[in-house]
Amino acid sequence: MESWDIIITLLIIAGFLFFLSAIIALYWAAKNGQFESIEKGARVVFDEDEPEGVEMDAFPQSKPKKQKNHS
Amino acid sequence: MDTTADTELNKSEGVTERVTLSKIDQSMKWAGIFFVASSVVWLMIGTIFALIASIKLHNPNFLASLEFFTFGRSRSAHLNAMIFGWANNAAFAVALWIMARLCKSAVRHGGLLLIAGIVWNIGVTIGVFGILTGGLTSVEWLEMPVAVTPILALAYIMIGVWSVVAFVHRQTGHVYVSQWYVLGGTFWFPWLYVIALVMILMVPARGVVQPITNWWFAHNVLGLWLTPIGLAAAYYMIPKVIGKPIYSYYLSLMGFWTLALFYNWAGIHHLIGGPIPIWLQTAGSVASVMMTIPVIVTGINHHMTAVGNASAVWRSPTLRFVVFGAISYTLTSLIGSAMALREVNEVTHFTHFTVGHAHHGVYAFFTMIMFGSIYFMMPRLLHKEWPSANLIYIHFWTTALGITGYVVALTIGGWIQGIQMNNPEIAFLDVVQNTVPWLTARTIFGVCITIGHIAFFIHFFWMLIGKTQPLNEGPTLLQRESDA
Repeated sequence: MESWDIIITLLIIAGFLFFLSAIIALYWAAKNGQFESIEKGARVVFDEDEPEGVEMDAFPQSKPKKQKNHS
Repeated sequence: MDTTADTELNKSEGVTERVTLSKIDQSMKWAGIFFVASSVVWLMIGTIFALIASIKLHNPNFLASLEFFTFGRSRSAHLNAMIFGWANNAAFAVALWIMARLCKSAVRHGGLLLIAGIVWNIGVTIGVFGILTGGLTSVEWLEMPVAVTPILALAYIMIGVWSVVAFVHRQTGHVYVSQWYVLGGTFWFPWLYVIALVMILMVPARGVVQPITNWWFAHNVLGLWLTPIGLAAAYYMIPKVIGKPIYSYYLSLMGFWTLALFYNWAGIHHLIGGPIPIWLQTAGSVASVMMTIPVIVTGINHHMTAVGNASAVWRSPTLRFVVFGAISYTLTSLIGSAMALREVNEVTHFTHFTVGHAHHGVYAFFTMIMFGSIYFMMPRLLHKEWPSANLIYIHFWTTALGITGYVVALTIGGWIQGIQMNNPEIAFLDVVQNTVPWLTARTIFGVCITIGHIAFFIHFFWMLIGKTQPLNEGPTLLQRESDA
């Protein structure tokens, strides 16, 4: 039974540290300015290789409607 | 602020040249191929066990003479092959790839990642074999023989480290919401797994602490591992393919932090009415209902982004699957919150309703998003086109209709079963027999899903092995053919 007491104590300490890491992550994010300039942050999925405003994926035979109208 | 962080990073690393996406894709190539190929093989294995288990429920004589395929074994083999074989391998591939791309950081030491992946798959193989030969434990979601679990824990940590390495070496200032989700998921899963192993199997806790730990673990594998990875992929794929940023980025960040706060409490709702402290059950119900906040927030985001661009969604093989998954996420989560209310739980507990709900989450939400992500990822890793649009259509329609029918059948059948079980006038055996039509329907829809999986299996290995003409250089594959 004693070994169980030791293990549960270790787990509780580990759990506390784990919880603490989440708080530190949130604190870091706020301090680091992660919650500022939100609109800019939303655009980090795009870059020069795969830019904003370009559809990246379509079935071969289906053309975007806009292109059809233009042609 | 972002730009200063960028330049500082560049200075400290002495890096000035831009890491292109195709370079990152190239660095992930072999590990990515390995993870996806193993996940597809596990998907097929899991599907076969699913069919066997499903048929046995309305036709008990099916394969009855084979001890390897008793219901208990084939059902557990199905679950473990799907979760640890299919879902985890697919999640590793997609999550690490998205992480590397968003961090603008090529995957370092891809060979080591590959070895870790091989160790993981050896572990799962031994585990599933152990289940089939009767070495399974009696703990749901932890059925694999205890001896194999340290291998899995170690392999997981070896793989999960790559998301942290990518994050540490990131070349971008802003941490996108998908990166938060991937980091969260890769931190949470090993913690869940190790705690559950220690407290249930290695140094077993006494009495009801075991089921409490069990459901905390099992529900959180879905909520704190598969859900974050599925949402990370959705938050990446939807804006990426449409070419427009997410509807409200502010809400998406709020969704992540509220999920982190509430989800880990929710698993206890599996034990409502059980012999555990009432306050714990209430805490589980409250947390489950609080989950409506991240769910609605995420739902608004995904749907408002997709709705204005419905034609683009329909044109894209990737987004068909991903948006189907995103819609399912909203539905299944709201149903799940409702199921955690005591009045509803009195009916749905111990019925097929729960089974339908579990598949709604893991299949209609997570698996569909992984299918979509793989359709987007593989052409970029292989620099090849998917060979056949028809196989993608078959895959989409069979799985989408199959899982919808599956969930509807078990939801209705399970609800009737629950009402009848609560009625003392109806004999138990009659209740069981009344479920047979619904279970038969499940098998039929399961066959439908299986057809889709076969199409996907053939398509994937056809693409991998076959000689397809690379259409164009650059990462906009699948789109270029329409221009040609």
